[in-house]
Amino acid sequence: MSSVLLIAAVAACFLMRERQNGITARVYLDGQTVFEANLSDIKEKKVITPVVGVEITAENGKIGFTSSSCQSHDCIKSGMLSKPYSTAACIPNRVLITLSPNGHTGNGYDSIAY
Amino acid sequence: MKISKSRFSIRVTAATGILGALMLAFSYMESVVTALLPLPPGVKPGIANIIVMFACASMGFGCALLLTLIKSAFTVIISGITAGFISLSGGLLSVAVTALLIKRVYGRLSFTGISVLGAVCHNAGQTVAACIILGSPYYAAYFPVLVISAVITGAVTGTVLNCIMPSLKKLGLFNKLKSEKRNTEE
Repeated sequence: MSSVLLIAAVAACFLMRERQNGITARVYLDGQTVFEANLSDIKEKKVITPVVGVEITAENGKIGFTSSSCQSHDCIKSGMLSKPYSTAACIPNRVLITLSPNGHTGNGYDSIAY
Repeated sequence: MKISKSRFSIRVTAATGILGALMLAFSYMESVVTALLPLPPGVKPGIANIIVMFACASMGFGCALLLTLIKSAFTVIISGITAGFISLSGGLLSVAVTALLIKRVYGRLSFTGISVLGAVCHNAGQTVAACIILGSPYYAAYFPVLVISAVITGAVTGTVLNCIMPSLKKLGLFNKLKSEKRNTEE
């Protein structure tokens, strides 16, 4: 139990440190990056339409699906993302949003594994 | 008393049909309940998996596999090909693992434990399918959330099956088909 708490505390410190470095949001369509930006650089509301029927909104350090043509709308239910290593996906439209700490590619797994 | 193979086949076919209809009703109810509950995206109660587990235990892997395929076909009709592919991926892995566990470790492990492992495998299969559709492995970052939900929902559905199985045995639904199968094979 104490080892689990210790690991959780270390992970929390790691995530908080990464968050202070800034967060990069990436939008993928069919595995290809169609949008990439530092969330803190987005001052005004920005709407991204990676594919017809899907709208992604980025503002105030958050990004998320705001409109989708899919049936279940699980992507919209994911809400606005702002934490590193968060993901949201509209699988029927093959669109994926990932957030990673600045300077990391993808979801930054390589940086954790060192 | 020996029972002819044709008569046994009729019983199995009828039982499979009843279980299939029940499973489709549970699947539809699950889709309605999921919309009402504040669940994380992609998380479902897995109520229909109770039927698949019962089929694994009482009628074997073949019947459970058929029910899984029926459920996936139903998902294709209701929600589209993408949802059907994801359902099929998760369902095939889940039913294979569930059948293997029931055959090997049932008795040492209750339906609750088997259900939890089956649910985790179900979500693992769905995650792999989602990564294939998205063309990106990054969706796997959501898998920890799905594992936690699988443990909870799997425990609930397994516990429900543990509770109702004695009643089903009293009705003779559980033992009858297995004993008839033995009689046809002797």
